[in-house]
Amino acid sequence: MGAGLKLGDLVLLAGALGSGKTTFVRGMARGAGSDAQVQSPTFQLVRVYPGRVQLAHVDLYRVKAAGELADLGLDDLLDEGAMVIEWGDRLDMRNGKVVTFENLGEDRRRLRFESEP
Amino acid sequence: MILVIDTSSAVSAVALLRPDGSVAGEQTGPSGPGFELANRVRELRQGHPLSKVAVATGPGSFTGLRVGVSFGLGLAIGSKVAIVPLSTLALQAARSLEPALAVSEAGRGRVYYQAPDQSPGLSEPGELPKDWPAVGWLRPATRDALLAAGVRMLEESRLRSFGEAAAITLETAREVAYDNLKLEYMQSFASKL
Repeated sequence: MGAGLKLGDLVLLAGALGSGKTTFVRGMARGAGSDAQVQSPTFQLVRVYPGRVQLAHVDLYRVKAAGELADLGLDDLLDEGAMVIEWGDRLDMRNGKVVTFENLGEDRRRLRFESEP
Repeated sequence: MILVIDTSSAVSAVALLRPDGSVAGEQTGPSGPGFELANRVRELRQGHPLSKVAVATGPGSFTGLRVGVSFGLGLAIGSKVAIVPLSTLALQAARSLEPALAVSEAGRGRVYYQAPDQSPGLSEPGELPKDWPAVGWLRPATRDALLAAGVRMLEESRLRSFGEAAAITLETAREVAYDNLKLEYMQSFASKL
């Protein structure tokens, strides 16, 4: 998925804490040609990984209000590269790919991929 | 002297106006770090004291808006002079000699727009109203998309300069308290929260 990323691509990740969202982004960043250290942006809210295509890594876990969302500048980030958003199911979006993570216990996860038109 | 700053769109501009509104100097260039806002302001001012700072407050680029507005606000606070917000789209509309659709770059192929006497909006080029010719600073690809969609763009040579337009816009603009300067930022991301 990372290898196929292009400018303006949006991927929304949904799933509970510990279900593998950040690990998944680590793989996406490698695929996008970045060797940056990928960590959960729970506190920074946005991390940007330069690569073949820039990948913005956003976490909405701590974003509580629409005003805070506006302060992230997501439109500009999507103008500069691709973007993956943890807790992306908190957005009211009509486009973008959605990956839903389900924790099946221990090291087993079920991932469901959907494309919103 | 009144300093006017607009870094909200595809082109950035600074102008220095005399108290009577005449243009003492102005500079424009492509937006981005290469615009060197601080150096351009220093060149333009040449030490002249400021009586007022006006900044374009959007709608426009997230980063561009914050660069121009925070620089202008800092200068106003430090110089103990008034800060005046100007609408990015009103500035562009004032450049036209006839009623026009003001447009500005919104990224990802979209534009902010404002028709005469109407509220601003965000649109794809193909969905813009075509009742007026358009005026505004866009990236070349966005401008081409507007032309392809049948929007008539006014030629730069037939427009007022940025400084002249700023002087007109300032006639009806009002200063605000330092802590009450608001950005007009329209984003396409909506929260379910």
